[in-house]
Amino acid sequence: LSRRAAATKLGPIDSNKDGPRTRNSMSKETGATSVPNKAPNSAPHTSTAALWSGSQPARLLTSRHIGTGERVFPPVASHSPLAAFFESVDLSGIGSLYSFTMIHPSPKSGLAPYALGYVDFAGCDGPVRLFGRLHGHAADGPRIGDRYEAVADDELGYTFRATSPTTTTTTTTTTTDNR
Amino acid sequence: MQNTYLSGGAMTPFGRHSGVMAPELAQRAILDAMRDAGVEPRDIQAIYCANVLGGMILGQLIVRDLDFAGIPVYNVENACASGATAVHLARHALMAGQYDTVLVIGIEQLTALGGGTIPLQRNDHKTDLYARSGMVLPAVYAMRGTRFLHERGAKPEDLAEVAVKNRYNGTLNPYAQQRTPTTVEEVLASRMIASPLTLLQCCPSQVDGAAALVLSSRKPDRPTPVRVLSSVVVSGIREQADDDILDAEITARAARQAYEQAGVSPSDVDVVELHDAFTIAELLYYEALGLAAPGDAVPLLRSGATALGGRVPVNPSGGLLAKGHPLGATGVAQMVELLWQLEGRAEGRQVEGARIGLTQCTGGGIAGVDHAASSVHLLGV
Repeated sequence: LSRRAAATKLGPIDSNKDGPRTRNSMSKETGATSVPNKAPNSAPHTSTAALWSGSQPARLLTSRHIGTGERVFPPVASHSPLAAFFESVDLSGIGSLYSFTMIHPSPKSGLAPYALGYVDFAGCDGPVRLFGRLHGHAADGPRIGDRYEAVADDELGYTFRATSPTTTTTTTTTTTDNR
Repeated sequence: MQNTYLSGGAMTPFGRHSGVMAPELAQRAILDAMRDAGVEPRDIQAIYCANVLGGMILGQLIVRDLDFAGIPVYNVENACASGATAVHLARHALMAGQYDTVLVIGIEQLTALGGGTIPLQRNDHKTDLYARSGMVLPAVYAMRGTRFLHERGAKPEDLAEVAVKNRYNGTLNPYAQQRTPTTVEEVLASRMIASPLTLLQCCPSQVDGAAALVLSSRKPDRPTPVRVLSSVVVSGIREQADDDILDAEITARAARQAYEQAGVSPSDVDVVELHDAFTIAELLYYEALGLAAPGDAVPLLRSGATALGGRVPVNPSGGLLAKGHPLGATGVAQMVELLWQLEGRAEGRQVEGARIGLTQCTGGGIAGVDHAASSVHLLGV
């Protein structure tokens, strides 16, 4: 049973016997950036550079728990007290769109609709599901099961670009961030 | 085991209370709840105040000018589950014999924030990163909606029917913000927010409100004393790569524990107030609460079983979709509605003969869990 399945099937008492909980965090924290953030309790924005490997081509980084094999994203920060339990694993290959939504910002905002989704990556390093901005899909919108790859994005850190054969494609929407 | 009774309850109408500050809004619910319970300030031994965005020590601020003589005030925050969590904690103290009568308040003033989607709190790397890409709670629910339509062969009209049902119920409830009926066509024609969810499928975010309950281990002198049969609060478990987002795992887990504690089964429940922040949520929670078998949410809705007059009316108050969702107040207000339902005084929307009711609220946007907190209560006469 997975940890979650154990909690579901065995109830609250047994679900607490799964050992130390791990948390996800990123590998580097920077101070101020140019990205405005009006949210209350806003934290400093995370460096997007820390999300990518230095290899060629650069790969999005994930962390894998050494004991359980569970993969997490974003990668666990090097200063995290949990860092010793994780190893860095590159995200490679093509993922499959698990679900999505088209966000339609208020007309007053002047922002164009954009797509968000969960992309499932499988492979020998273990499965991992990532959330992010979608682009390059067909003009009538993404479809569940479409194939996506992670690409770098200066502002958001990463986005997912459709690799499925499509006749017409949208342009990238990363400049219409919803903040 | 020590029983916990709902000795009395009250709420303000949910809506825009422009220019009204927190004390005046909450005091109205408090005084009405104490009058309903027939208690004086000297009878209350502690106060639990649920709120999310109203700032520090809100409970003490609210009761400063009442005559509680410095009794303990506990301020409780658990996002949308704050109100239910406050009731849960109050019950702990009653069961332990720490107090015998306490007051629970839920309050939120969202109109002061200017409306729109409430942003995720970005004090975690993962939440910050995902929020930067655009993660907000409507998007999370919308992705469940997309997957639901894909897997279940359901249609957007099925989602819209939830809004039609609950907004109709809202027309019967003087405490609801939205009191005009709507149609499937109107719901689907309203502005798209996050596909497949249109505006009328999202609970109003411009709303203020307060609700209050007097809880006591003393059996109240009422014709049909309402007691808490079970009270559960659970937290989200970190998402896994293969999670089924239609599973509503956190709520299913809370519900299972609540039924077990109370010794009742889903088929025993006569009336439900659940967390329909978005239409898709109500369908998923039918299954998570065991009202429908997995995969049978749409047939249950279509059968009319969850409408007023049906086998198990869901959200007779109008739910969050019609009543509005002032975060900290919601969980308390759900129980005020059930108090009225179980005592047979939910005028205009009464579920006849209701003896067991269930409330459920789930909330909190943290990237990496389906929700931060979920709470299920079973109440009965």
